[in-house]
Amino acid sequence: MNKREDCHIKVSRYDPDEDQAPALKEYRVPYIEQGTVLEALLHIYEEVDSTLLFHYGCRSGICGKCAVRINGKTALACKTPLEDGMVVQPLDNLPVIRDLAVDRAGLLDTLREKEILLSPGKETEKVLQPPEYFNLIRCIECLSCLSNCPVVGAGEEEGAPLFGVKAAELCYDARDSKDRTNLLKAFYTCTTCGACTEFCSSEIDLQGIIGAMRKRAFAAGAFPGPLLKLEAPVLNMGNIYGATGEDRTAVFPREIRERFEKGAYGETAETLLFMGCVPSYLDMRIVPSLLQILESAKVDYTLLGKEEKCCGFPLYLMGAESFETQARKVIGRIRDTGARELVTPCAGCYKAFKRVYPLFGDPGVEVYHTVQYLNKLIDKKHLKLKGELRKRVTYHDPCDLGRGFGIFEEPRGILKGIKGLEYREMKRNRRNVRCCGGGGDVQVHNPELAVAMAVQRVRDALEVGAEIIVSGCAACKDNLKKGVRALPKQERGKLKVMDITEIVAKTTVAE
Amino acid sequence: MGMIIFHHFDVLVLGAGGAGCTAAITAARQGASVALVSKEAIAGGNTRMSGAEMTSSGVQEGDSAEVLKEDMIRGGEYLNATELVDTLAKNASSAIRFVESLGHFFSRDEDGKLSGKVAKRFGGHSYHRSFFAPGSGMALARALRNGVANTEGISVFEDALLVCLFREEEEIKGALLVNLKTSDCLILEAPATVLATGGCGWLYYPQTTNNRSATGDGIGVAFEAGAEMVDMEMIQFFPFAINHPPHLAGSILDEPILAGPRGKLINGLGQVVADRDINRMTRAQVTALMAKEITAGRATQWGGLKLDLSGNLDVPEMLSYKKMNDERKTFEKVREAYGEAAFDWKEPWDVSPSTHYMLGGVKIDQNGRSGLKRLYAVGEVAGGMMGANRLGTTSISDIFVMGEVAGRDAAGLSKESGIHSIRTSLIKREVEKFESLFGKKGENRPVKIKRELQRIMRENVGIVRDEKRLDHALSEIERLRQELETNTSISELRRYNTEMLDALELGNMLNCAKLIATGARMREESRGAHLRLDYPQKDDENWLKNITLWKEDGQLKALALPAAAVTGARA
Repeated sequence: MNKREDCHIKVSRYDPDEDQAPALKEYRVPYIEQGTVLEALLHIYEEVDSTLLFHYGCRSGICGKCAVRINGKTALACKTPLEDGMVVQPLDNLPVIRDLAVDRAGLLDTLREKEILLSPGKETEKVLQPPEYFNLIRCIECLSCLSNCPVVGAGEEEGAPLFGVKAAELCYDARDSKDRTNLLKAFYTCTTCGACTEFCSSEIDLQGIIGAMRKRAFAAGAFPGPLLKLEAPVLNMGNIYGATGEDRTAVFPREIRERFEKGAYGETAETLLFMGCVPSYLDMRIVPSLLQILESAKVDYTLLGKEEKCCGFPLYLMGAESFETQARKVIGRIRDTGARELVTPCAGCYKAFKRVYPLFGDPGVEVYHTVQYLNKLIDKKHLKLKGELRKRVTYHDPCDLGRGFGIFEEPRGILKGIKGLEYREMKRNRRNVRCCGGGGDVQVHNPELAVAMAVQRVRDALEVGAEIIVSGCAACKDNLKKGVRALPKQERGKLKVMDITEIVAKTTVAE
Repeated sequence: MGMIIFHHFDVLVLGAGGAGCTAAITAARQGASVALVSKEAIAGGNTRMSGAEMTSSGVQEGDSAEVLKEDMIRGGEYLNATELVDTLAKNASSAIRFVESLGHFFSRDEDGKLSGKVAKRFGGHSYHRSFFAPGSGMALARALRNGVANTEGISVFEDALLVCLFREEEEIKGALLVNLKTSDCLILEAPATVLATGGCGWLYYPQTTNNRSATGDGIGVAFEAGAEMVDMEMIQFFPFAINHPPHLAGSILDEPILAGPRGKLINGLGQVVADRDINRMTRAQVTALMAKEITAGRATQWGGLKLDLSGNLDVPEMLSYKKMNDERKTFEKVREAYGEAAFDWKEPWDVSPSTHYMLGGVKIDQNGRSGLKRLYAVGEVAGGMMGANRLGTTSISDIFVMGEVAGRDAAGLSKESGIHSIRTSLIKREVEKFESLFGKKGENRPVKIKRELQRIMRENVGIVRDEKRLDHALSEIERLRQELETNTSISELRRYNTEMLDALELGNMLNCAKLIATGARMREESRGAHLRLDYPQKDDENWLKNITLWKEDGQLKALALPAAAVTGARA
């Protein structure tokens, strides 16, 4: 609020005894110097309606009790500057007592049931705690992570991030005397979407903690059994499906496959296409679409074809040490091509190359995801979108691209540049995106949960009237499709799920 | 009307911060069945907001329980109940081990030990003896919850507000509570009741470091039941709190230790008021110094003084202190309020004293027993331990030492007692009184009266007092009591009725206010936290006394008794 003017905010009012559903009510709040949302709520409480229920305690970001959703994002009311037009709602995924207050009681019983209680029993005279411990004890238990977690939203409490923090704290506490292996498996009930980390009031890197805990879990054998069926195929066959290398080119359009087999793709090309396992083996459209686009943009590219191997990201996600072996293998292969840049349509590969590989070695290439690369081609006018698409389209941010790397505007820019396309934004978008359920290896060991999560996301799209959900990740596409199919026909209508490469290919073809 | 639910326990603990959780854990370990009651979720009050530092005695050579005791009594300006101080000093170090056994953790030296190397010396302490907790109060709150969860025999009641104590003859037999989520009444009967409801800093909102639930519930309710209160005029202010912008006003910063050896206090005219060793002064001494400047009209435009820490930028001890606090994010608020240069100590910033701690409270003996049979009080709700001023980090030690003492004694007492049922007529009367709160159709919202009371307390019973202000406050408090009883509006809502909550809290706050102002009016001297403009000097001849207040036949009674330091006996 820069101007000394009144502002209007909308606040969720709800009494479960009286009301069918929460309703937003607008209130006028006079100018408050450097005002916060909490001060606005206090003003309403004192001057307008003292039945408005909200919790707060310390007024200074210490106690976590005033956490709410502001414009759809979780935040501490006492720490959020007041702005005109704000919408204030209670945290999601928690029972609402009334209005903005969620039930904060009962945590003690839950921790007891889950056996997440410290048992100091070892030597306590001399204690050295690891740095992770000091990071974790900063948690103020504002419960925002529960509100943001799509796993909790889908009704699965096991992976609830709050309990992950508590369990990890025990694991890192040098004084704890119990074997905590039993707490580790829950870390796999997580799609590693990062929503908990994104909005954590204490800025705890929960995503990092989950990764570390999975490593510990994998080493201890405390992981969901079905994950094992991933490791051997990746290491031995070079893909997650146990398919042959030959199958990777089966999806290429025939003329490209033939040219490729004749060795027409020079080893000195500028650009290496790294297709990824899901696009190569599962999705039949992304690879041909991408090839077709690059052909028409006359990009000097090369392919690994049958020699492409899984980047190892699924192993990384499960916490397997063998990831490093796989990564080194792939780094060598990429270096051998001599390419200057690498383009991949797979969000998982992108994250692996961009964030994880640098820990082991340098593949020596500039890495692009296709949404970035296509946007670049369009910008440089190497590619023109001439076709029309008269559809209502929404973009689903893959967690690994959006929250992971802040890639938000490129895909939207591409879509909005398509003639006839009516772009619709889902309520939860960009950093606040709701994960589709396709990540973190959850699909492998808990497919029902993955689909339940996809259903939530598909409903987000239906809510804004979308006819096509576009994503930039083959795993998102695959899982969202399952979500669509899980809905009754009358609800899902003719909703389609497509990858951004397909949309671009469609509109380039028309040229 | 809601349901009435009865429970019987051996020990009833009201309040679930450090003192309450410790009393509950200790009593349950003795085999008692325990009810642990919290107005919100467990461990949600001021313990959760604290720095969670604790004092020890004897980590540095020359230090001992005896020296700690002397420091506390000197710092308390000789009003302390010496037997209570003795109990704290002797048990301070073992309390640290107890707290760590629940799951709390104090910063260690490079060898992983709690040694003099990492202990800090707070204002008024003769030695480095206070240990820091990297996780602050939030980690302590978690440790308490962990301790309670790990103990068999504790039933936890959350979102349960204390309405009244049941007294028959001279005995307390239990309490009436309301489940805020349903407005159902809970009758908890027990042969031993421990009050651990904390202080009443919220009386001074927004100029307080306390959290919103510190409304003096235990003091208000125990006073109604006839318990004796002591030292109620003694309200500790934290000298260094933020004073603007409004949403951060009153927000805790630090105690005198922050000023370091080279910190300066500068008044609104740019004159240096103090330029060294402020860190060796007590909170009361620094607050008095600031109050003098402020009341003389030499405050800054924000009503406070400037604290200049730039002199400490080459003092290694202070730089490590800053680093430690930056890691705990203690000073983030400085950045938010005053900007980067202030945060880096390069620029002076504005500070005002803020209400921090209730030094007085229910009068207790060394076992935590109050004057009423079967009623205990521990922690901030109890009075006497700290005298006229409290030294830094002693309050957290107090809640654990006294919590344990009272928990053990209460468990013992409950074993000697039979079933203690409360007379039905008494229950009926209190439940009806409670139910009559709903649907009141007066003109004033309880929260508005709360705000009025808070303003009156800040302006008249705050860091400086005089006869005129105190008389004014006392008559205003009476007026607001009338307003609460005859002219409030409270809805019929049964699901977390905030107006009902405000009305009950306000009743307790009015009791506290009356006790504080009455004590302050009586004490015609300045001592420790109590500053009288009309009696600026300390008067050892007439006022080495503790003021005791209680309610008898509906009247407030008062008595000034010689302090333990004078009689050589316990207060």
